Amino acid sequence: MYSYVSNMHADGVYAELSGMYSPDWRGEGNVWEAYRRTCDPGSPARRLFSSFRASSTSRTSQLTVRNQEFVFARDVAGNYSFCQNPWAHYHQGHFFSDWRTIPVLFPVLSPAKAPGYADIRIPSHYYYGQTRRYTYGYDPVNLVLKEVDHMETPWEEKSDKIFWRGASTGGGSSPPGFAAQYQRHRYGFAFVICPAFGNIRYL
Amino acid sequence: MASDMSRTNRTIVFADPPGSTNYVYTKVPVAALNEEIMDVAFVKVVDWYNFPGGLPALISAHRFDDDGVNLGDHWRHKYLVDVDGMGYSGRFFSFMESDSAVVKSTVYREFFSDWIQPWYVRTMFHPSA
Repeated sequence: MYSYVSNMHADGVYAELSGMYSPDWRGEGNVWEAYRRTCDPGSPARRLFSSFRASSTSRTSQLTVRNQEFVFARDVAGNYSFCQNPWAHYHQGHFFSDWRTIPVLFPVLSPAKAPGYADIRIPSHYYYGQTRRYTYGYDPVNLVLKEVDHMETPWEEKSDKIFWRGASTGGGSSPPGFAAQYQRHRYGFAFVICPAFGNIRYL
Repeated sequence: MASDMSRTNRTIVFADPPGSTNYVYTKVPVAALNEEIMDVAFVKVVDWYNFPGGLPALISAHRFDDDGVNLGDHWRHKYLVDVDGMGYSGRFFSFMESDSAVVKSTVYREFFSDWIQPWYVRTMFHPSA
């Protein structure tokens, strides 16, 4: 049994390295279709039909606000189940990646593991390098790292606005047409502290 | 959406007086809310050819900051949002080292994810909204 499995695995690895597959999907498949097959057979993601929800423009009634306690998000969505919530995959660009998935068992060392993946986590190179764009306190002129960034501002003098700048990266295009739902575009944004109500809380 | 300039109302809840546990609510137009509390914009367009409607649609639907920013410009603001691109955000550590507060949203777990404390060292932001 063991040698049978290892032969199958060896064949799979050989096929991956043989050059018969292009690195990108080229319309032959997509990440979501490969991903959802790893979900439990009884889970919503394995059904033939799935829902598609509009980006949230939820408006909470005053009745709800008055009568329900608001809660703060306990954590980020690092354990969010796309198997249980297949509609949510439309909002995550990595499911639309143009890069083909690898269907054989390679140990993968990566800096960030998404739900359902088996990456072995290692620290990101962004945290080890010293660069102008990613490192706090980096002085690109003298090429030294300072404890306090030269552009740091005292809290009282900082602006009260919620700030974000970045590129419109968000995901691939396999299949195309869904970019408007990716997290950065959708986050064109509605800032919410409480996910349950889609409203803003000031404290 | 932070680029939404419509007259749709959003209900907000706040403490009155500030710092108390007496919460009141009111409705505020989204446009006013965005104008007052949000400063969010793209500085670079990537992959516009796959965006439905192409570049014109992408530009009209979102806010852009043509001047661009350096990393250091972020420390002028109290609340910094950190969201995923297609992959995780590489800026998180720099935001955390600054004196600004970090509002984080991600579907990824990194090597330190079990070690940092939400709400003590950063605020949460759930993508479901």
